[in-house]
Amino acid sequence: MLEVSNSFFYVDGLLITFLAFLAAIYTGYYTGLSFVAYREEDEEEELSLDAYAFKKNDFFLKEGSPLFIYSHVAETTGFILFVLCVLAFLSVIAGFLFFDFFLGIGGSA
Amino acid sequence: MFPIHEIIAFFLFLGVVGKSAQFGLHAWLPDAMEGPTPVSALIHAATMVTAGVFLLVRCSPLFEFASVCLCLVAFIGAITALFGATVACFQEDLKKIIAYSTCSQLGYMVLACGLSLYSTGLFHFFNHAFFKALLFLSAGAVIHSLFGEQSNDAFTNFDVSFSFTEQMFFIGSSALSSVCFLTGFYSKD
Repeated sequence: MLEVSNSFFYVDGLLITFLAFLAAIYTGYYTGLSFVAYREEDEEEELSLDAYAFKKNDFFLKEGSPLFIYSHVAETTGFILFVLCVLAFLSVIAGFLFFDFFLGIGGSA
Repeated sequence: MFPIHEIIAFFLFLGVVGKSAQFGLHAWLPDAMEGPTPVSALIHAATMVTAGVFLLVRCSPLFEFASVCLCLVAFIGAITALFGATVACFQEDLKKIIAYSTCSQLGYMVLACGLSLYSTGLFHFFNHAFFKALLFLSAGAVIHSLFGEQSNDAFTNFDVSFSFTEQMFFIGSSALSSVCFLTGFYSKD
């Protein structure tokens, strides 16, 4: 049992690292940091957070739109889409993949 | 008088109750939802709340000798699983619903540990991380596109299509609900 939990410690470390990386990337997206955000092409424009835009931001609702009658596709794109796909894949397959790792070694009783 | 190992196990379990938001000391977890969604995902999926379950597993040799405390662990875990799931049904805030769902799933993990099924608890802990991160990040995508609106009532006022995010939500919720051959099915089974 302790061997399993020791092994798990390393697996969970990887998971924590992965999620911390995601949190950093997402924070970058939301706050408009230059290393992840899409910069508009006008280089002459004075640098400000407004110069950075969420990638494909046009697919999201606009401020001031008549929200109650507004019909639009507000879809995730780019890196977020990729991350969600990875997590969705793991959500489907992780149980099958790691079943023996957790319940095969040392047993559950 | 209780033997010393029962007392030690009891106090360790008190730490687990606080850290893993078990019934009685659970109130901080939904209130922690004020933070950004990726941070919520990090806290709920892999790092903070699951440390309590990990403590239970690491101290399992001690808990195995503390049968009275082990019964208490199982009881509190079962109560939390039921309580978290019930309270989640009456929440309006999208992130709070997922937070109470985390509370409920942690109850399942603690219950498994209380029944001496430590590997199963750990397995569910591992699986839970993936689908809970998926649910939180999908919720973040929805909230972002609705200008930070998190209320369930508000969603009905928006005529917005989230076809991809909906599919992600569906996969995450199905795994959480232990639909056959998805991740949650293997650990809860």
